[in-house]
Amino acid sequence: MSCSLSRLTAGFFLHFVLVFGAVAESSLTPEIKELAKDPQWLALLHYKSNTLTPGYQSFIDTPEFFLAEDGARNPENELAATVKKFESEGIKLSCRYPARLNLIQAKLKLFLDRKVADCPEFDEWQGLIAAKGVTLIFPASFLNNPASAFGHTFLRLDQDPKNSKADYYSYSINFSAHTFGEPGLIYAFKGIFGFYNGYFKVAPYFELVKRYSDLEKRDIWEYRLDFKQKEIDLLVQHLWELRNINFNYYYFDENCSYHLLGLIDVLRPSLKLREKFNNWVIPSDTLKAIAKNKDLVLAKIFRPSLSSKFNAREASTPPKLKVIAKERILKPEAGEKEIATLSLEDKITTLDLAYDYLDYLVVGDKIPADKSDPLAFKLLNERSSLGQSSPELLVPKQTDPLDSHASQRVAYGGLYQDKKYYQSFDLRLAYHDLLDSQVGFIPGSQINFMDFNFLLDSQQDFSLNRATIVDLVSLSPGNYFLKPLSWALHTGFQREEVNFSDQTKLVYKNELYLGRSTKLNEGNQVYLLGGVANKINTYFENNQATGGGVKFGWLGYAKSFNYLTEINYNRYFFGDNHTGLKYGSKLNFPLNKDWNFRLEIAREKDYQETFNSYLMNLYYYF
Amino acid sequence: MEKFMKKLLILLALIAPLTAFAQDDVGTCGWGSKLFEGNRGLAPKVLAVTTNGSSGNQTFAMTSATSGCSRDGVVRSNWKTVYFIDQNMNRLARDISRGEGETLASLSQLVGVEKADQVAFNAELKNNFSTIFASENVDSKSVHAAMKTVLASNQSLANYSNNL
Repeated sequence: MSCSLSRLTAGFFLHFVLVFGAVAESSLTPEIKELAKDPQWLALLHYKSNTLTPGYQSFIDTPEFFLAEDGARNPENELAATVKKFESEGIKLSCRYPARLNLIQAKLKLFLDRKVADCPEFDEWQGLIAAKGVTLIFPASFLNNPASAFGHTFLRLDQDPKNSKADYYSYSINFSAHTFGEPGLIYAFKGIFGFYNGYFKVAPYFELVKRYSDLEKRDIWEYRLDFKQKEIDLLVQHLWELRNINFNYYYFDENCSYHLLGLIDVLRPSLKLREKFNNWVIPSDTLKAIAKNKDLVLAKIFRPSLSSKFNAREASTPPKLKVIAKERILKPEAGEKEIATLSLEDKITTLDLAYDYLDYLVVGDKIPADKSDPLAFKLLNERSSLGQSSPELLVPKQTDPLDSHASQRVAYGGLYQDKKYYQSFDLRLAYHDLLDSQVGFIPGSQINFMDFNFLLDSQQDFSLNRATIVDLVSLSPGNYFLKPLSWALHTGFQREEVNFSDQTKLVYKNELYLGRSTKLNEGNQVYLLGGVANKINTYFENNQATGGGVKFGWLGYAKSFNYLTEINYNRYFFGDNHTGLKYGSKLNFPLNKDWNFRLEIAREKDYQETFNSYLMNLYYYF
Repeated sequence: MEKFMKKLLILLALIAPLTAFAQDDVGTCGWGSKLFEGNRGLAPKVLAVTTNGSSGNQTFAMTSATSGCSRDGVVRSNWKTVYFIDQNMNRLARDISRGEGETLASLSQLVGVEKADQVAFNAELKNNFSTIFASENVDSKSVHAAMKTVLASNQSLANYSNNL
């Protein structure tokens, strides 16, 4: 990505400054030279070795963090300057850098008389964080909120790793960009090109649960990691050093998950996590890279989102009580009368469901506070007057994201289309489609990003057949209470026939469909979407065709295969006037985590011509 | 078409990330200070935290100034339970009305409730729901005070009142 390019070029020029400009400090003793190469020192300064030239560059973009003039690029000088200034400026400076002090004490046997107790501010802070364990947190993606599309990772510092009750108020460390609430497109531009500053933030875990689990409806996976108290202490000391320290934020590579790997490298430099990633960092991939280290993951905990809990409660409630619960919120007086007639257990079930429904409405901003406060007050009062505790809510556990397929994909296969044979080659940079193995994903979601297809015909002519930039699908079946929007958004190039010419050209296509999806039974859903479509190519009359259309499909997940049947009809009436009709079926067999086999048949009509295509593909995920 | 444009705008709004800023917290700690403006009302307030786009409480961000209540993202120990109640009041109300739940369990842990007292602790709060949450727009300060009173009046739970 461009951001890594800018880093590279900067590193290249700085190399000359370094070679010709830097003056070796006289204090570069052999011990200092040795420690400056230590992975722990390199991790504490967030150095990365340059790709094209020798030397290092730190990811930290706050100059004040460094004590040597060229500290951002020179681990040796930075260490020498640290030792020198610790000496000359005394305890105050080493209190600002407790992790550096810790390492220098351990490895160089210097400043051994300095104690944490000499740094009252840090000491208090460390005592309040009271970190005794580290848990990696992964809020999974939820497609109806595309900002969350690739998932996210952060750390929690557990105050009592053996007791999950302490998790909720333990502190978390989350890397995020300061975006000043700028709107989507500006965010995208600035985010991709590194205009934002990013910081590590410390906040109680419940703050983040509220955000990710309640508001953004994302199920959370928690992986308790096995770190020693010594390692955890060093991390906390290092976090103190990182107060107000800025890392430029880049959406695709130097993102939250990437910098988090840098923190885990501080915990245990030998894991060398960050250097395993270069220019494309997807949170679920970093999760796997961490978990790959044997014995590091002690336990996995699934924390269903507010909406998953609501759906589970809804699914386990008898239909008659659902009607009453909904009425209790929407027509309180009628609902109240109905509830009064129920048995004690039914009352509890109904009131709990009603409150959770209200909760859902409030979170979605679908009910004003002057209505919700009195409603909540009455419901909870009524509930508290009923003796028993609520029965435990069983939320169906999602499959573990650690077991999901990798996000990049290649395919090789054979295509027979319009009476011609081709060999077919695919490359997808990210991330997941409707038919890929569903292990670790929410069924009915698709994020195809940078997906290319090339064809080789019998004359050995090689051509680009498809270049999808983004292809998103979110099919969320509703229930008695909730009717979420399902949608599909596509932009990219596709080779197809243009303007009765019998020639195929690369056409730039944009499509947006909105609609609804309905669950037929567990594993099967049908959807109906309507929307707008636009195609651009100079061969079209007026260079483009714009219109609208519908999509109807049936998507199913069986034990050993996934299938999709879809009809798509578009009528283009602005620009190039024509219709497009395509219907077909796809059948995908996940052979294992890394390999899938897929069959597709389709019949397509563009302009006057109708043709069939048959595709057989073998996919490899990496 | 207009309807479609509206949907499109909704979709774009969805794509727009939810991020913005709250001001740094300054001044001393205590009820009525910026940190403890005191949440009000019994319906869930997730939105109050997030409509201005803030991702959780930014006053507690690593980048914020040190205030009387918190130091660089971390709540001072004497305000720990109070802050917890303030920030989780609605979830706590839900859990107390049901007599179980993660928020209630967390509070018990924070207060140091012994295993043997857990059932009694939960029941005491549940039975006194209407005392603790006295009105529909009750604020967290009075919830905290009422909880203390309720626990103090039960001999076997009285020592937890001091921890609250």
